Amino acid sequence: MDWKELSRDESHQMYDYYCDSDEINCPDQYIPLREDILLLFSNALNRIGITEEQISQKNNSYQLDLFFGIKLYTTLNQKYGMDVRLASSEGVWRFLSVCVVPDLVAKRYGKDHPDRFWKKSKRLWLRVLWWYIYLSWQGSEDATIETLKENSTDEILQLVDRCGRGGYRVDLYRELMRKNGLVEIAERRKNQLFRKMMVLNTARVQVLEPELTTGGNRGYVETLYNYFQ
Amino acid sequence: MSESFSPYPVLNSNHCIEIGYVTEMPGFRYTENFEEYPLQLDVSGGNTVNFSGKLTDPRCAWYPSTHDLIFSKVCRITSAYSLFGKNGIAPANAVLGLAVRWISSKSDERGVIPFGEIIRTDSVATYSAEYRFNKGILKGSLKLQTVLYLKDPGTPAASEMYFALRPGTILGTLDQSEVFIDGNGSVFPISIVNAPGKSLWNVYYDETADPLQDPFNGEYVEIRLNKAHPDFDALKIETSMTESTLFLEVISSAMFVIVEAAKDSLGEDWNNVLNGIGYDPGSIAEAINFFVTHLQWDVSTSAKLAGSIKKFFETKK
Repeated sequence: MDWKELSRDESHQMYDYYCDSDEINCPDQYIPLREDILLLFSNALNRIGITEEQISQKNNSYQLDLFFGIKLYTTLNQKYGMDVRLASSEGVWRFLSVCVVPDLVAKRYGKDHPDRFWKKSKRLWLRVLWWYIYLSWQGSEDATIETLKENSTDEILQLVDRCGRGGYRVDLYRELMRKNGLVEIAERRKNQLFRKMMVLNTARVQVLEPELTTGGNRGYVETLYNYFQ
Repeated sequence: MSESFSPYPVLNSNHCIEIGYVTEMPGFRYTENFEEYPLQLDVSGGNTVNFSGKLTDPRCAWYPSTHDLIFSKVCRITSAYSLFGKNGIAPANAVLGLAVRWISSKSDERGVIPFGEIIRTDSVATYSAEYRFNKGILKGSLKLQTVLYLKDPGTPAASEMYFALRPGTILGTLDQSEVFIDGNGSVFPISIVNAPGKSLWNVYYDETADPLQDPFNGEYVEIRLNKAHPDFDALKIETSMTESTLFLEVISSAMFVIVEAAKDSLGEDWNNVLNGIGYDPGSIAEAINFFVTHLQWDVSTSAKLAGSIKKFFETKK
């Protein structure tokens, strides 16, 4: 796959063109990719049992993010050679968002959210979905879905937005998400547990390395959890 | 100049001398068809405890998206005694650890490689670290820091409770380096545009950028020189820009605009940035901090800022 990257100026222009015309300007060589992603999207809607009009209702938007996101992640990786290097190239996600499947981004957020199309690199919807799954990966699709199924869009925001200085500690984040998935849903919602754990973690990593603590990442995450009990 | 305060003793330059810390340059190699091949590290500045360099492959086959990267390093400590107890950084019967922290900020990943233990009675000891980065992970540069951390506080005496006692606490940095693995390293964001009828230069500054996080590159900040302008040739882009008075005027004015724009968008974070606090590596804010602390630009008033920038570039003639 020859991944095309789009600058901010180019993506801004393409976004404006799409918003004005409703036309999708996907280059020919990326049509198979577009068709694959469209299929993943419709399969995700079918799996949740909703129509496009119901995406914004209740917790449907998170369910779509999860079930579409995990298939997007595995398909891009396995079929199109996506890896961390590519996934950290904002231009790739801008290209996908405004040239390949702008209609899907619009179905999820509406056209009036330029942050999700091109404007804010850390907020591009497709990018956020890929990193959410990557940072939560539990070894297989099924295990990852099992861990993430009770989450909400707030967990996505807390995880992906908190990159920290220098980058993500990937193994730590996967452990944090594993622990969060084991906590009773009522306890999570009542105490905003995940958000609190992420905030405390942000403070603690200023002076220590979680992986070097007694018990490594798992032991460290337990101490974060126990702090709020 | 930024200052930081630690509530517990941390490593200082005297400790490094007393323990006789010596390190070799790190080694890098990769695998292809089950064979290992060395990579060449071209050091561009510094010494063994603080340098930057670039990796090249004599075979011209290695690329970080298609090959792994194996990092190795060897270091030696002659006497660990002074790290423990009074005037040290850990209780007398604690266990310290050695680790390499790595950061690949362009691919948003970081990690840690533990590789040794140190106790008070250790005399001459050699420590070796080795780590394999899988393909497709690293991008841009790899920052490496060899650190001492508290592995086990032991049983601190009542008089030793002032030491850091939480396992995993970083107690100091022994050496650091930045190795560029692809791309051109740090390139100042200047571009050439073709805009007939427009001014000779302008500054692009993305007002939606978060200067604490977003990188100092052409996506967010850029000096744009207009090749359609009649005075463009006087910039001497093709020969020596630093000999062009016009170019130095342009760059001085443009940098003034960038610093002022960053100051506006940073708001209350401005003072933190000047103190080296709260921003990501490679961010616009880090660049501003560099200008102020390393290049001695005076940001106390707009007039002094303009004057100090101009003075800085004039000395580059």
